[in-house]
Amino acid sequence: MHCKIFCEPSGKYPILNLAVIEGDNKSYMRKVENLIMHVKREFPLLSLNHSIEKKQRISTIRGWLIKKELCKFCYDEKDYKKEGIYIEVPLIESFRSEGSFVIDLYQMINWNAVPDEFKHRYYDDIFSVLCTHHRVELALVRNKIMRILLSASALINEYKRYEVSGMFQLNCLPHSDDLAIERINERLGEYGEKWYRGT
Amino acid sequence: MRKGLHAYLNVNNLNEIINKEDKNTTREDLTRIVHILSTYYNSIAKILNKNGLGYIEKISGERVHFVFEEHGEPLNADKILETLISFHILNYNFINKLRKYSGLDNFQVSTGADYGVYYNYEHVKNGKVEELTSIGYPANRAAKLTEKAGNNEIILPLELVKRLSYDLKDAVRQIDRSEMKRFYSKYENGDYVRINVNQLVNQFAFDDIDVRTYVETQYSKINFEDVVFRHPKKLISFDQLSEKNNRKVDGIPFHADLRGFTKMFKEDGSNLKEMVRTTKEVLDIMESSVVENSGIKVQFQGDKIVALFHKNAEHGSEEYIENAIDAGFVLIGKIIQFNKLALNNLPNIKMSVGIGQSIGELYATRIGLKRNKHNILLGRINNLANKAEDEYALEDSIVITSDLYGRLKKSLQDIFRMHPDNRRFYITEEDYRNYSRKRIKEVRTKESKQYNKEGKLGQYNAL
Repeated sequence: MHCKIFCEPSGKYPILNLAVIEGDNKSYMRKVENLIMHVKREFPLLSLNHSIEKKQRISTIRGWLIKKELCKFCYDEKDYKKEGIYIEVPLIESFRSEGSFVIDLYQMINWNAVPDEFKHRYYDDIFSVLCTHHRVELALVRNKIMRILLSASALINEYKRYEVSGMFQLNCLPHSDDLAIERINERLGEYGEKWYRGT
Repeated sequence: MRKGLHAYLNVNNLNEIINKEDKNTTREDLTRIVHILSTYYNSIAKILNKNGLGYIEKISGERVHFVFEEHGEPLNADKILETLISFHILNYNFINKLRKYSGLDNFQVSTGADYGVYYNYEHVKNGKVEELTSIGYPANRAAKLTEKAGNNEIILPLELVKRLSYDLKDAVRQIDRSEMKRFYSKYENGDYVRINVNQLVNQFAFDDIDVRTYVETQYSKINFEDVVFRHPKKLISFDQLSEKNNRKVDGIPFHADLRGFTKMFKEDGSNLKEMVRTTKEVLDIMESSVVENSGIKVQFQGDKIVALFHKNAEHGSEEYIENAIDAGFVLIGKIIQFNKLALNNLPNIKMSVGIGQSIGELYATRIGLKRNKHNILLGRINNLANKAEDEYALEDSIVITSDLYGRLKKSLQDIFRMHPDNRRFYITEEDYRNYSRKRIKEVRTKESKQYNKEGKLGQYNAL
């Protein structure tokens, strides 16, 4: 093993200050329920987390980020820890148009063990947030949350592979705007006209 | 716990008839087989409904499992024997003589039955009883006895025959205990007799006008032209199948049998409460192992599950092969984990699974009367999978046919070895943890490659 990136859950996790829903609560819940159906198909161990306060706050997606293809080989919590990480994704009211972000809730990724060039994260003092997308790229897809989760899963997958092989082969977008847009355009070209129309 | 007589009626030569019909170049499907089975089994159900003595628990291809339950007073031995004999006469006098089936070999049937205590499990799905299956020794023993009964023969417990009010004279022969031990390794005690139905045909001249009319209506209700076998584009839903609307698939029949489960039931019923919960958990584990791997549950047969993995556009052309092997290991792993967790409540018990699989063309249908329909797989390939599980699978092992072995990718072939008892089968006893590790590595590499190939775009455009 080259380096141990994943560690035991810290036991402490940030309490998220979730926003109160200002718009139509029913419509928001409908959208959220619809989304979780798609999410569960790919990530069976993720589920919706609603607030129980009087004021209806936004929901979050919470649970083990493990794709269904891997999930079937997990028999207990020990396996979950080995194959995935525990995440939380707040679903702001405009999650359909703006997307969201993936929080490594129990800080299971030891970023010190990841070489700087492969550190795909945003970080502040409280949250450990995975870098899952570029805003330009996100504008091109319809189901943004699903896209973000898949991206997070691919990143975790690559870190797990890196632990064993020492090679990081994931073709990530550069963080700089100009370079990212250049790369996105290259990729769009590969998809041809159909994709341009789709956007 | 309930008490009663479990009986199996077996069409002994159905596999040969199917094989013949399967190879018949003028017909490309099993239309006639589905038609004749439907006519025969529905007529049996009709007789049972009419005399109110018992009910059909399961139809599974060549076998019908029916139960005569005891409600307070002892079973009426006379009526039960008459009913069992009527099923044989129905076959010889009516079914085999129907003009539409001329050219098909006559059905050769035998029956085996045993009496005792059993547990009835109702498999509930979405608040609805989806399937009934019973677990206990009588059904297991009856199945074994049926296998050993000759054509037109019924094997019954001596205890039941002694209660008959009439004499069966020369038609009855007691089975030697040593003979019982020879063909049934788990045999402990009890005496059984063979009854030769040929010698009783005159004594029990079964000619029920209602049943005869029913057979004729049932027979003429469906024309051969109405029976279709379609190739499915997506995963089959058995709810949509019927005698008329069948499917022909390229797929893998998956037979998995729990070993050591029946032993967990105490005969006095003292642990029934725990066992009700355990049964539900174990059968749920079996079903979820199949469904999680894009397979379809066909039916439970006691503590056995029959499932199907088939080729379809939804899941990639050859993916179903990997999925079926994965499902086998996932099931073995889950049962081993279950053993560990259940150890506190059910000490000294070790459950294991034996799994059989084969590959090729097979037929899916749904037969039975209203509100008692049964999902069925037919074809030579299904019989091979059953044989692999029943005769060659050891504890926590998967046995596959050489055809399926040939279709596996190299990394999966490596974990199988030729079966020592039959060169046409391959067996694996690989540890499920090792297998999982290997497959996780493969899945991760595949995902990474796919992600780089498709880029971050192109997926999940649906809302």
